Amino acid sequence: MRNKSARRIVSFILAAVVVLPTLAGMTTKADTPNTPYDVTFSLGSKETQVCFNWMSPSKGKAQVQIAKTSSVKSGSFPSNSTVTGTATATTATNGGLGNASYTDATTGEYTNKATVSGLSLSTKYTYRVGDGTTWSSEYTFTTGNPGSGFSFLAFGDPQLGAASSNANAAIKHTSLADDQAGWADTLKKATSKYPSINFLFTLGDEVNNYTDLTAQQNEYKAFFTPDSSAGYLQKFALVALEGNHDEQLGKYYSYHYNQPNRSTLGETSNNSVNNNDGDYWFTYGDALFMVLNANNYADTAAHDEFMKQAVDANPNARWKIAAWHQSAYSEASHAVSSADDSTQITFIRQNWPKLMDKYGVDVVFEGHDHSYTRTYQMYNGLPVDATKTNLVSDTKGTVYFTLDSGSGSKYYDFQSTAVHTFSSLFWQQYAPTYSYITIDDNEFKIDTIRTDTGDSVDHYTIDKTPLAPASSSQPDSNSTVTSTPSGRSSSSAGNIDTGDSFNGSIPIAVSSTLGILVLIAIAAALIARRKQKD
Amino acid sequence: MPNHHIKPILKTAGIVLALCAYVAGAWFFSRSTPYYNITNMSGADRISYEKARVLSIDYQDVGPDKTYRQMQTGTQTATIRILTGEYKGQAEKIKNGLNYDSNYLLSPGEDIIVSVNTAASGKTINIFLYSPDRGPWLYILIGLFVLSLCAIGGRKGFRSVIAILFTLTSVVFVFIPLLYRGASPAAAALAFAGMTAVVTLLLIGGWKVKTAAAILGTVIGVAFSAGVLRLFEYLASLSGYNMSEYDTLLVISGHSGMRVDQLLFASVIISSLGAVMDIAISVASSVNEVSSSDPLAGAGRLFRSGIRVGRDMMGTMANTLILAFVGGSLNMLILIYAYRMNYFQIINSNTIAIEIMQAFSGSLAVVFTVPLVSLTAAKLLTISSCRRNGVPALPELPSPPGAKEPVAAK
Repeated sequence: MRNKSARRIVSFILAAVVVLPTLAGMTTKADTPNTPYDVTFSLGSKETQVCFNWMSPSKGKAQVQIAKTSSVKSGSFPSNSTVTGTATATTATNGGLGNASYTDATTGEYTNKATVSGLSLSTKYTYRVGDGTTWSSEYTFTTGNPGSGFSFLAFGDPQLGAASSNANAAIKHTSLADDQAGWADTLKKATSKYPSINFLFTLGDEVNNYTDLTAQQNEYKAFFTPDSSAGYLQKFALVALEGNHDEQLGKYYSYHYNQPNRSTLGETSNNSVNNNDGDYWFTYGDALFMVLNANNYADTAAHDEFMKQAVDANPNARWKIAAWHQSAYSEASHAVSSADDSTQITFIRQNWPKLMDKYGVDVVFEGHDHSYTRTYQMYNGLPVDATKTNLVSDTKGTVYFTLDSGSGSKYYDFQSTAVHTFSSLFWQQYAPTYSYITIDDNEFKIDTIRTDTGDSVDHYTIDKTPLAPASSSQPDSNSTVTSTPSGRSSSSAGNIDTGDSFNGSIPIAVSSTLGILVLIAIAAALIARRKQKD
Repeated sequence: MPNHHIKPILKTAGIVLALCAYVAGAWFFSRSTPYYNITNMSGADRISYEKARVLSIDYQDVGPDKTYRQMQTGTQTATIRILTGEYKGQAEKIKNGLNYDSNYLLSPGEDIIVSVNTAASGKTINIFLYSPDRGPWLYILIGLFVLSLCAIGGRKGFRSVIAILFTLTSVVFVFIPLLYRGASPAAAALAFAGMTAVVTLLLIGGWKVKTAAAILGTVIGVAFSAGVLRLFEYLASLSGYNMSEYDTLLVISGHSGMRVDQLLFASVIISSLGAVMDIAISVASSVNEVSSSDPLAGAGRLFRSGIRVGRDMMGTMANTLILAFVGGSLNMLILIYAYRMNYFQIINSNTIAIEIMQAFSGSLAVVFTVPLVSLTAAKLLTISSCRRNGVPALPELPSPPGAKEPVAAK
């Protein structure tokens, strides 16, 4: 039988695999096995594609063996099940931050990337990754069939390694192990309650330490493998994005993920080295996901151009969902004017929603503030309707979610001095939460649940009339201006002397009155002085 | 006399020389490259803030907000002409949202500041309203202040302007760079306080005994409040690590060696310095007046008169500091009131605790400066007045007939 011969071949290969490295060991270094770690896979541009990524201590062939679980017999894969990708040495900005004195250096690891296409829908697959010799454990995942709707779980900053013991938290975190246990607990509860979800979504700050490479490496391991026996992140596709903590070591973030349709638009730069962390998009069902990098917050033009490309490539997307890290609308510590990143947050709140308005984005997911905020439907920086509700139908505008800590590693307090005009619901009970989202043609539904009790924190539904055209906020071309030199460019236009600014009639009146009054006062004072002297 | 002519020239030359040295030193000292590029942009993407003029309002839908009736919200579409930078001279359309985050009703002819952000391809340019062009109005206000100070204050007013200029420039070019480069903030603040006191009081009070007394009093007063502050910082467990921006400062300190923990101390010293100088020169002046009207008044009498004047002033002056704290944190106080926050929570919060520390250790310095200055002024004035009069410095001597006016009076 074909199966038997295939098995024979595989066992031969396996035997070779065991013998060869011992031989190779004579000439090359083989004292440490090239065991893969930080194994993860992301959704591809289509539902039939997945993109694998893993790290390894030395350079190998970067191979994925993947087959329908039904055809993998006692650990041996069919012969045509190997996909080879690329292995690249990784670098990190040593010391973190875009400081001119810091430079990129190799970290002694390799990133392995391989994309697998042509998968069947609603099918269980088994895979393992490795270098053709040393393999990871075997994992299984099931592809979705999002034509009839799909679901996913979203988490705010897991931030493994923050270990910030908040005085109000019931479960105090004082070590990376605590954060790891919290992360594993959330994943366990969420995935056992919703086992049929199609992917996991984390909203940045997957790791914490941004100055010490070794610390961050350990945090990545804890993030990707919080519980090695369960393999949550190897069982479900992961959509991750870059937070401010992940960004600081430069390119190092990008070596941990294999993201589809990644653009150079929106990427950040440390010391003129581009970080390969630009915006990316993917579709799932009839939803278009646009994942933006808010570390490059001021460059709205780049994000604008990226979103145009993504929307143009998917003109029929029924739902448009955007996600980024630094929350535009939240009510905890990062939202106050004295926050260390207040310039950035204020800029994002004032300007990024203009892009959401322009492209008719339905839902935005954000993190960064380790607390939960749901806004009203927002348009033009204002609530469309400031009535508290859990259900909207065929509404205008965008709803913004700021998600709470997924691991319990850190919480931020509610800030009474922050802006609250946009908020429909705020929640901070110092417990980790996760959000369960379902999307089909006509309904978006989110249920946010606290991990410790399983109670619902918030739920919200957006309905769309069946067969109606997608929620159409007309692109308003006004906020983006294509560079068209105006016909008249008079020589006076460039003058910036202050006299130039008094064009309005009211300011002239006010300033001249004020000026005259002051001159009179000065004259009076001078006369008085002169008289005194006399 | 020829001497009469040479002296002012020498004096002027000396001042000019000192000024040049100061400017050169400040310039050299304050040079630094930005710590890092905070916008983090890649490639040829760029953002700049440019001046523009509103040519016309093409569309407007603005009215009272649905929730907060006193606020105007809505949208405007405006055609603007960019007046500076890469797109200088071009007319562009912008959309101006009036909402809770940005709320400026534009009118034709108005000058505004816009952020101009270009993606590397050059195909996408985002032009967003940043603010009205406030610069000219701020300059006018400053100009009015300077003019008024000179007109009403005369020569003294002009000297005050120079003193203010000195204080501002030494903050920007000397004090801040010193802190940034990792000098001890406590030492830098005390040195800065001393230097500012010397220059300001000399400029305003002139080269006189009362000035010396005021300077001495200020320096000792500040040093005294520094001691008190240090003690209570320790007791109340407050330091620079409790200030709001400390997280970022800490990251920067890793690069520049800045001492974040002592920044609170420095900020409190600086914020109380003005009031301390104020009361010091006032008390010294009044003691000087008494001494000049009664040249043989003894140190004891002068001291008592200084204390009497100071008593009237210390209350209002301490109030000045406390009112400055109230003014600076008015919004926060309203919120505390509105939310009826818990007493323990309020009194122990970093911000409130720091504000109280700042207001009261500064006020304490003001209070103690009164006897200090009275004492130094009384001592120095009796010594100098006796020396001028050729009389041994003994208190309560009967005044000799025909005694000359003391130094301070012309």
